[in-house]
Amino acid sequence: MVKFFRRNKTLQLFGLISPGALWILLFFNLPLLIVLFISFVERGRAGSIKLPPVYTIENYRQLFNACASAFAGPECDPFLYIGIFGHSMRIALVVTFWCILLGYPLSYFISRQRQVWRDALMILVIIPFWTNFLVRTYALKQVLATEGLLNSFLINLHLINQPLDLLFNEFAVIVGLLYGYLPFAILPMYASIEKFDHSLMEAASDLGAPPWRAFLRVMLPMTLPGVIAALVLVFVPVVGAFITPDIMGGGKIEMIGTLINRQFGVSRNWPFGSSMSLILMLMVLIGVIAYFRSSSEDTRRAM
Amino acid sequence: MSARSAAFPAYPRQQVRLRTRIGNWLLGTNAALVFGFIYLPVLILILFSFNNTRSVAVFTGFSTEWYTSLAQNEELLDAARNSLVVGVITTIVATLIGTLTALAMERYRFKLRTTFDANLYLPIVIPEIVMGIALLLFFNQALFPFLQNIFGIRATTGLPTITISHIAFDIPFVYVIVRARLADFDRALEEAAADLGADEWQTFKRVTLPLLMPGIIGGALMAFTLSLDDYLITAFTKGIREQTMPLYIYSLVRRGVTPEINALSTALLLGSIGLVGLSLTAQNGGPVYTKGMAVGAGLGLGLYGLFSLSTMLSSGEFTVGGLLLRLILVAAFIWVWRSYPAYREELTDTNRSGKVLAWITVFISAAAAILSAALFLM
Repeated sequence: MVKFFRRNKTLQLFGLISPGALWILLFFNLPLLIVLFISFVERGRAGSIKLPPVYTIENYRQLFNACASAFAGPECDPFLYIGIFGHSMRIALVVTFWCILLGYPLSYFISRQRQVWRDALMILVIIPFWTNFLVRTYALKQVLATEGLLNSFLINLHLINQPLDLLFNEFAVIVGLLYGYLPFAILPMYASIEKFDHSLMEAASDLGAPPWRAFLRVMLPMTLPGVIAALVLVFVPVVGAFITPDIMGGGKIEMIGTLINRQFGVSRNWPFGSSMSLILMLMVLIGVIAYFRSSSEDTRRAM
Repeated sequence: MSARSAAFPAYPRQQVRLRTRIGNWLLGTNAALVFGFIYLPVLILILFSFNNTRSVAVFTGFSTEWYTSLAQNEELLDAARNSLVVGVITTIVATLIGTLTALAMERYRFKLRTTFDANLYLPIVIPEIVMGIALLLFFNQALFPFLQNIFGIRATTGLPTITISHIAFDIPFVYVIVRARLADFDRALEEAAADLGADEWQTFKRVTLPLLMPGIIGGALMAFTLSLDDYLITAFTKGIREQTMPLYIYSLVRRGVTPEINALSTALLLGSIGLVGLSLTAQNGGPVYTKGMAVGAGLGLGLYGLFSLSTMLSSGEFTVGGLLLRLILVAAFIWVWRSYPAYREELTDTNRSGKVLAWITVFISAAAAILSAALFLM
């Protein structure tokens, strides 16, 4: 028996792979299929689904026309949900833009330091990755709170008389997301800039290019893969974020993540929540796949 | 072309130097601002956890009262115990399964291999909230009705469903880390073992496994950290009564800002930085460090076992189960006592900074072990 097992490669493979395959298929792929199924059935009275299931595409239509729902009031805005999707994407774009704008020069700065400093600064970039996201968001919330450090600091300087409302608005959500995801942007851009041969800049300058032109024509194109990686790494998690908009927005700022969460909480509309989750997942996957396609093309071209 | 480049003005040296000086100044300022932005809030959080009033804006004096109030908060201690139980079970199962999967994917060729590989990356890539609701719907709409109808078992969400879900999202992370280690693996070492007469199992046990160990331990600590930190998936798969640490913190943070949360956050920060430090040392360093972790953990458990055994004996009130548990902990101490000389022997070969790192590893593991033992036995 044991000998048979040792000789038989197929059986070995089966033994090694079946626990992982079973767990992932049962507790990841099957749940996703159930989301797909529920997104195509009608909701029941108690919040879950109607039994026996009645198939419908209403949950997807509702996303594009909020008034399609039977529960819609007379003053409903048909673009309510599309608006929230658009708003989330706008917030994600703004956050990504600032991440790259602040992160790129920082990556460049770090790459120009001496080895010891470079390592130390990179450790400082990496530490936030490993600290609890909730704790970091709380740290920022505490600084921006009405009774927080920033407000009392500004009041003591007599710059303001009344504490500013720094929390529970779009500004707070954007700053919170920027705070959470800035390290994600720095890492890939640093990897790209560190590999860049800086003597190329000197060559460009010797050939008469002013610094800005040398940057735009030489350095930026060559480090673009890092910038694009940063874009994907920030945009993808931010567009579906839940924790930051919930804590920093205090329930006043709606993003896709909080909207989905609400369908499983107070709104109790699981089919609609499911359809939105699938759309969100699709958006993210398209972005990631496009990124992998383009990055492999880049490497192919480089070779 | 040559006419054009000749037409470029030659920049005066002075001007270029001034420009780079301003450029450097701007770069430095940006770096200071970004690091300030990332670290100041966390440093302020730590500072105000030691404040002696409830304010998180004015530091009035040093005190540790928030930490003492944490240690007496039963709700929090329960949450911490739950987090540890879920984390430990998740880590063991996910590490085992993830490692087996990595071995299978790296060493065998089969149909649908690339598809399954992509499928394993999927849980890392998709938004956490999607996986959370998928599991919520799976448990409530599929698994529980199925168990009810077929076996007549009434199941509800709780710590077991949280653990199952954590294992599901941890397997891919362990898989990625172990597989990266396997990719660098020199198969010639295994062939050498086979040439020297070792059979497949011996080769695996004596050559493959020890060389993979840093990756496996790195993956395990990563899995543990992720499980301890997870809020979103836990929130969708939790039961009515039990909560975990992140769930508890989340409920506090939503309510407002208090120095208790600062103290709790500081403790968590220390914990996760310690864990990740261990994880990185395990992945990049040699077996000296992984063994150091075992020695440290054994030492911590053993010391706590000795301490609690003595208090139990002196107080005179003991149960058979409690006594047995403490004796097991004391056995850990005896194991450390006996394996310590061998460990010291191994340390003599490492250089000075390696030695310091190894002792830090031992110390952190011991502290973690003592704290967890205290949490459960107090």
